[in-house]
Amino acid sequence: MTVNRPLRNLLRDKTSNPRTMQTAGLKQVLTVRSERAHARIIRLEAHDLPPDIVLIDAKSLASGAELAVEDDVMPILAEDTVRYVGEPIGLLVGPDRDSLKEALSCIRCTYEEYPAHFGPSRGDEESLYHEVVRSSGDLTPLFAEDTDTLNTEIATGLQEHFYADPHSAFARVANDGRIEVTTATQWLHHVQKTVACAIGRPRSKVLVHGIEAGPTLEGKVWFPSLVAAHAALAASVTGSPCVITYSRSEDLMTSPKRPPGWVRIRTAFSEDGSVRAAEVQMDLDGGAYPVFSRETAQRLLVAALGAYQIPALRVVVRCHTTNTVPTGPFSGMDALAWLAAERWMSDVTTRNGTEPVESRVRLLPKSDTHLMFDDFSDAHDHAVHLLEDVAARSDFRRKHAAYELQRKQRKPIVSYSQPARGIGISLSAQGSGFSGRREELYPSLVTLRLDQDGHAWVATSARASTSVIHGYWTARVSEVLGIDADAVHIAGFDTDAAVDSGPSMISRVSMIHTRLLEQCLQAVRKKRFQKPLPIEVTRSWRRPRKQTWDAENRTGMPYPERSWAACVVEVESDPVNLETRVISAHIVAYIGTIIDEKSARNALATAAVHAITWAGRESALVGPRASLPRSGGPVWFSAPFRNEPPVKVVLVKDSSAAHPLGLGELAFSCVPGAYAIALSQALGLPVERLPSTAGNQYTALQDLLRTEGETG
Amino acid sequence: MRIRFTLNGKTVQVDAEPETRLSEILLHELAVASLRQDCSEGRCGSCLVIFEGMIVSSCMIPMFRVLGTEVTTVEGLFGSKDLRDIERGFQRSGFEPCRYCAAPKTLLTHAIISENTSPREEELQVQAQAVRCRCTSYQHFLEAIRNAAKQRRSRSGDT
Amino acid sequence: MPQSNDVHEAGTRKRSTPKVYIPHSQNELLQLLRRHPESRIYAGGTALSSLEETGRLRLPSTIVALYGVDDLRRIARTDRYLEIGANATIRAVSRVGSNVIPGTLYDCLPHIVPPGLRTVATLVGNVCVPGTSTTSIAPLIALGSSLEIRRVGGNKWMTVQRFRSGENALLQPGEVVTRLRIPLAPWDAQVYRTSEDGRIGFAAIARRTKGGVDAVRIVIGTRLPEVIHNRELDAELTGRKLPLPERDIAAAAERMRNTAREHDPGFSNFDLYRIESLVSWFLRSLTRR
Repeated sequence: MTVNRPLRNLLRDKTSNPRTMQTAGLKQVLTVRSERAHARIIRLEAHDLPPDIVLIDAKSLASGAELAVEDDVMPILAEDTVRYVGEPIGLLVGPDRDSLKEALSCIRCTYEEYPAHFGPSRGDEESLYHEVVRSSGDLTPLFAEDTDTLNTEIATGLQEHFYADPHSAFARVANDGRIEVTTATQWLHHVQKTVACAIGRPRSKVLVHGIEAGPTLEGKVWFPSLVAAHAALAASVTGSPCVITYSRSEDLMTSPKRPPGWVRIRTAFSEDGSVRAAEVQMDLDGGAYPVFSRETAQRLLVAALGAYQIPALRVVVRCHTTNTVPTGPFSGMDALAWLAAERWMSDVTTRNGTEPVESRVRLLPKSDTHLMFDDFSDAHDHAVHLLEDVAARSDFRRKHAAYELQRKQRKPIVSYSQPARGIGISLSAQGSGFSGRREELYPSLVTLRLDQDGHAWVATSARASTSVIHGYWTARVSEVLGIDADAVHIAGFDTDAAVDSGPSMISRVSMIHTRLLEQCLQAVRKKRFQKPLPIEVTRSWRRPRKQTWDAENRTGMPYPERSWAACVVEVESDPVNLETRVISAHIVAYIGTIIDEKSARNALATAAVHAITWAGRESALVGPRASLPRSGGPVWFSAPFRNEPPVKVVLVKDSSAAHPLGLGELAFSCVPGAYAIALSQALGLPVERLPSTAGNQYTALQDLLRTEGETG
Repeated sequence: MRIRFTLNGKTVQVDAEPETRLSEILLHELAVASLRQDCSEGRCGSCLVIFEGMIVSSCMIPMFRVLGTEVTTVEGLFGSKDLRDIERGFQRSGFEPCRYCAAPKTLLTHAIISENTSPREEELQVQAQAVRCRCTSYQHFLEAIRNAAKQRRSRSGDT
Repeated sequence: MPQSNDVHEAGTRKRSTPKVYIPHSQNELLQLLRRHPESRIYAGGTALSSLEETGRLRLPSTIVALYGVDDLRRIARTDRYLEIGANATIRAVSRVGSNVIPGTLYDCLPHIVPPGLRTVATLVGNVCVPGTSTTSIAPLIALGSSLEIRRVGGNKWMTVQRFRSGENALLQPGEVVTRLRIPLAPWDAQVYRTSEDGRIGFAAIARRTKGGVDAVRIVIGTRLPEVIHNRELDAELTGRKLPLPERDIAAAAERMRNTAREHDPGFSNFDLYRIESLVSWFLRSLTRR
């Protein structure tokens, strides 16, 4: 089944693009931003502004206007308090962007500065935004004074999504009086809701045309709503069509990022070397506005120590607010937990001198195990096989033993001349859809209509990052209803044509919406020859009854579905410059029904390359002063394309699988762990920070040498 | 300054300041739908065009440089057999660029295989980095270019 | 004053349109430069254009563009030299091939500009742009390259090393670099390595005779316009027998580290470590054929 979109269709795509929009009287919008990280705005005023330029501030917003996602809210324009450098405080509207930049010199803002906070210190109570805890039993006696313990630490940096197209939005007052907005988004109806809230109109008076956002790594879930609200406010105030287009630098400095995180794991061992208890603490820097942080925290909690089961466990996940750029979801929302779990597992195996695959398998839940936390009851079906398979394909056991011998025989890497190699293995799962009851908080409607002329229409606002899913939908409708593929249409991506299917993220499209379409199809098929055409059926998501999730005790199956992957990464570290080269990466994954094998393998391989780049060298250098290095170009182009490693992906075929599962986040969850373990082996010291740049490694090695020198 | 040049085989004339970027004119004056503009530093490859027979980032070409030259965007390939070769090559590789980089990746492929239907691997590896969109992996793009070159060779009977 | 972001320059004055001159011969070029000594040379234009995210490139007020002068595109090879015209693009140079271009320079070519600018950016332009010396400067100095500088009524040759070490402007008003001359000496060990953070460009070449080193040049490009080049160290390594003893390699690396520290006190310990390691690595590699 070919489900790819032909190239010529892509090239001739006439979707409106705010950047190329040409309309009579079009005005440009430039965001006026806070220069302070934390301050009260005393006064915002314009002096000698050119007559064709207008300043709009928060007073023009409707009463109570804000951007809201669950309980997380942020101002559309800050009126009283600013919480990060770059926070929008006003909008300049005028004929062209260059004039607007020049007009910035006419704007004065007076502040009363407050203390700013640029990152949570450990155990920081003041900055605590929320906390979730999961615990089993009393750990105190298990960590008694004479207990043999081990500490594992890992930290990750701020991460940029690196989507292709910086944020932009176009807005105008349409002939019917509605406000019409165009923007690239993963959440069409959230744009509508936020725009309506900003300009004080009912949602029915706002029409949103979505542009398919493409591969964004979840970078266009909620922030487009803010940009669109700015464009709509400008259009509403001036009465002219308005466009706002972020430059790449502006986008890099002010758009949400993946929150930096710190994980500390304390492990208690029994006398026979087995793990008897662990305490896990994770801290996230959510920035000024940690949108979706509750879901992120929940996912981290579930994935703490990965799928591994130990007798007693306590997990604390804390999210902090600081005065840095807002954060948000990033492909692999729980990647930090999987990374930490595998680094922990590596420390345990190194301590005990055990074989990594067997050590992992031993701690995986078995079919007859009573699970203290029942989250990973599906692990035994997949994980053991995946680990064994990836180990065999990558020759993991032999290489690991050889590199381990070399590691033990040599001094730290800075004192020898040949490149050193290491290999790491990891296991991860991806929960598709939101956790627990949260999935039901978001609309997930899909409508299927079969018309009298034999044409079928699928109405949904769900959009996948590739055309494969829509191709699959078309093929399924065609197959089940016995109509021509050309007679199957995916309704337009706008709020008039599409029903509200919630945010297109965490593989909801491939898992939830695909399943809903299947339900619609079966319903239409049943009714088809009993009722007159047209037949229209709408389905929305309900958690299957047999699936239990105890939110109170956090036990049961937290996600509607889960896919699995095991990964092996082999690296080489060059002692001359401490740069790391990935020699190979192997991934074996279970993703349920495979829609298009080649596309799925390519998607996983591409994501693996991104994950390696993230783990190896790339973090967004957005500091508290919102500045980027200008010499040599922004850091986001530094990805070493030519050194891209070969990634081999194998998908486990399962004829009994009923549905496709998500795969978009798998690589982000499993690759960094294997990478960090491999690099730890090559360097001869545990990697405790990602991205692990050459400079970071030099510092860590110097610390190690200094400590060794001090201890003789 | 009035500047006349050839765009996709047709003569066009625009009024522009000499230092205006070519990409700016193509986007906003001539409404070239395939063009994107991202980094404005010649690094990302979103605004690639074929300029005087060479692939180049149009954001770094000032308009005074464009006077009397020939510029080709992906629209210039529409309906051509050259584009069909590329499409088949991409399809054979299961290569599907996103809507943002489909045009620059197609144009880059065209430039590479038009110059040499058997591009040297070393040269290919440098050139293929010109588009930095991450929707596909670099290795996959290389495979797609090689397959497009194969299509072009077989069409021209050059094995 | 509020800012939209740090690349939006608040308070920018309206700019004036640049004057552009496009000569079609070297003679015309020199005459124009004499008449407009304040003008700047525009070859590929990739470094001259200030990088700001507006619809216009910010160019100097008067520029003389080289692209109309066809003979400046020439790349010629003699038995002893490779000569590259001021208008020859990096892509054109790389197409000459690795069998002609000295290895240390050839390996550096992909790192000079992004791939989408190789067809317009010129190698001579890269030499003439003040700023970092991490790209082609180090290999060209190691190879002993020189530049032809012309003005009305005269021309002169200057080594790239001297050209880059001048405290004043690289070119005097009315002058233009027309050619780059690279000696084609038989160096049998050549390397160029750049660090992933772009702070160091390491070029080293050596000629080995039976059992020894006939000549060595080690040049390191940095974020400063001048390179790190310890000629005394080059001279001391010349004539030594191979393999070099480890203690001599360590001493040479240590000397280069000290030279680097004097060159730029802003170097981090990690930069210095890399410089020391690169020198050791290259000297050790001389033993291997």
